[in-house]
Amino acid sequence: MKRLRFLLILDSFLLAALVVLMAPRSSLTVHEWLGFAIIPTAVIHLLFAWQWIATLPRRLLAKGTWRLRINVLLNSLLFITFVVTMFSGIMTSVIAMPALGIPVARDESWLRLHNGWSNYFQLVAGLHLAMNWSWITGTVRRLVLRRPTSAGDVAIAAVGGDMSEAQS
Amino acid sequence: MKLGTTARMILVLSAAGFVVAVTWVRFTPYDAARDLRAQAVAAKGQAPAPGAEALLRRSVLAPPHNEPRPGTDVTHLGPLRSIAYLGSLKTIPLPGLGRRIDNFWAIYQNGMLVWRVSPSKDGAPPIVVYVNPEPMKPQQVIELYNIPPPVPWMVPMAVQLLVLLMFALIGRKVLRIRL
Repeated sequence: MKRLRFLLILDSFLLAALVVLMAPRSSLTVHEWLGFAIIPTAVIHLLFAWQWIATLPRRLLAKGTWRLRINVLLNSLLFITFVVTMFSGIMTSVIAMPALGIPVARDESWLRLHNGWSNYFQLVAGLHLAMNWSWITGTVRRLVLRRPTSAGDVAIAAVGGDMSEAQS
Repeated sequence: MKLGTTARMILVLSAAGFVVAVTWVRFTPYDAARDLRAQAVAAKGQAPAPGAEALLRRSVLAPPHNEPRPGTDVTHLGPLRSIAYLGSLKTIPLPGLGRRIDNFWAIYQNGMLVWRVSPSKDGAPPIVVYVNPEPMKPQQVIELYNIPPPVPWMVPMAVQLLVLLMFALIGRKVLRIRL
């Protein structure tokens, strides 16, 4: 239960951070520092999904797993677009990197890459939300609304949160 | 596959490092003139809207009050040397909507500008905007972001959340992707 609650908080932070990051005109300072903060959060998000990742090779070979294959493709694209967006963002930093004492040779091409790939990232992140919608609603129903459903619990178990843990 | 947290993290960071390395290798530094030349070549065979070039030439002689973008100073550019057409775009890229904007690359004695013009049509006033295609310096970027946005800060965030949820809805309803 603790793990599931932690995941819900972590993912809620990632969603909120993504929305704030996608509107950089609000504050460049917030945009840059929040961009830095989201990197370790995303790594933790990935580490928590390790059970799902580690069992992939065995499951991908099974017949009729096209949904899983689409999910793997989407998650791979999400990882790639995230890394490119973050790295190009670091390369265009005018506040955070100089504040850390790291000079960045700012080039307009990094900014264009950052702007373009952040759009791809947003698109794939939306599809990632779609793919995991049952997990999201299942977790919110179980932990926030305290009205769990069997379909929601199945989705929680499918993503790697085992139900003995969820039900404890 | 049983791996410790450190090994997992190393794997994740290695994968990220690989993506960064590919991005780095494929990266091409920005060159405003090269970029604009490529646009001009792509626009060869296209023609600006009637009256667009005349509006541009009038505007070059008397630059309008522009959106405040740091680094765009038209007072030290000197005389105009040449103009190249860069093609057009629409303010709203949907049929029957938006206005056509023609882009021109104006080379002056001491610099260059990209002009975006649209002659007046059906009673709508003309649009004349110029931007400096050269990259901004870090301080200019900070100054640009210090200009208060035209809408409250919550509005763009709400829009971004809606866009994200729209993609999620498309994923669920149209593509039928779900667990």
